[in-house]
Amino acid sequence: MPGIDQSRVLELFERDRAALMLYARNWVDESRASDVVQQVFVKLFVLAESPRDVRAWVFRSVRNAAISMLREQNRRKHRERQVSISKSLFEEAPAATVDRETVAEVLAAIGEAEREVVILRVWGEMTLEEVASVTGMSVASVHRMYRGTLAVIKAAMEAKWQANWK
Amino acid sequence: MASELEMTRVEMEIERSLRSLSPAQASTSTQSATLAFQMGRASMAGGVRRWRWCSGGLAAVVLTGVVLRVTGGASMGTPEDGVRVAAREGAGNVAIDGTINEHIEKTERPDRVLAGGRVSAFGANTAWDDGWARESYDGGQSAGEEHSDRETSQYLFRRGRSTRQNSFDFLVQLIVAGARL
Repeated sequence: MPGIDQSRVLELFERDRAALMLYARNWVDESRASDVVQQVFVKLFVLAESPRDVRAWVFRSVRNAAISMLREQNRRKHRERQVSISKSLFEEAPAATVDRETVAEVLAAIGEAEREVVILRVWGEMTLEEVASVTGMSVASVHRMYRGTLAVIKAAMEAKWQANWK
Repeated sequence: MASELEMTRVEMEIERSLRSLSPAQASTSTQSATLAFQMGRASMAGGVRRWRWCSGGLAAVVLTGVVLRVTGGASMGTPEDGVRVAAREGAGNVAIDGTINEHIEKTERPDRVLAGGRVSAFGANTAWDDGWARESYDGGQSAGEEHSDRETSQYLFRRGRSTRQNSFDFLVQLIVAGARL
């Protein structure tokens, strides 16, 4: 049985850790997101058999673990979660063509499923098929949701810019 | 594929704009996730009996006769939690990534603290975030002077490598040592 290729896992970790954290924060706060990412990578190491698509497996595992953690902590208030989502999601980037605070606000305002699709597609750099595989939605649904959410994001950002210019 | 192409130029432009932002690289999470990576690798090499996860990013790994407990940083739970877990698990000794020194003295079993005092952070970011640790990380000049565990800190600095790499080396050494007991 082929074991996990450690260099492959390290490469995956280096590449995707920030995106995985961002993804996990769709459901849980930063420290718990950290727990989730840790758990998934440790789990990956002790798997008897390497998943066919390791990257999809990691994202899916992060998703499942984060949702489980959220359910365990259902006493948490919705308001707290929103704060967690909108706080410091992105690095400061002078070269960025959009304002990180604006994007964080917009992401916090849209629905959970929409946010998930956008995070996987944009920062997880996944194809629509891969997003569908991780979320369990159909490709058509993902596509429709993604395009619709981009339109919402565009409108929100334009509204923000207009407000700033007034 | 077709669905990937069914985007307008405007949509692609929005996508590109969003991609110009990078997800935050939270220092503590990165450290602890990196650490988990190393621990996972060590576990594959043998010696790790089982894992014990604590709240707030604390991790305890139960070795043969040794419990090694690490944290991702001061913001991630209280170190004493990990030590208590370790004591409950029947640890022979407890090695600590002590970002908060005073917690060690409050533990239920301070006699089981193998590397008491500030072994220092598992990662440069935590060290730099912490004024006390920073003082001890000024290129090694003051290393050991304020540490209750001089041997450990001096070991780290003698190696002359990055904090993170040193920490991993140290961690792996502990794991190996634990496996031999």
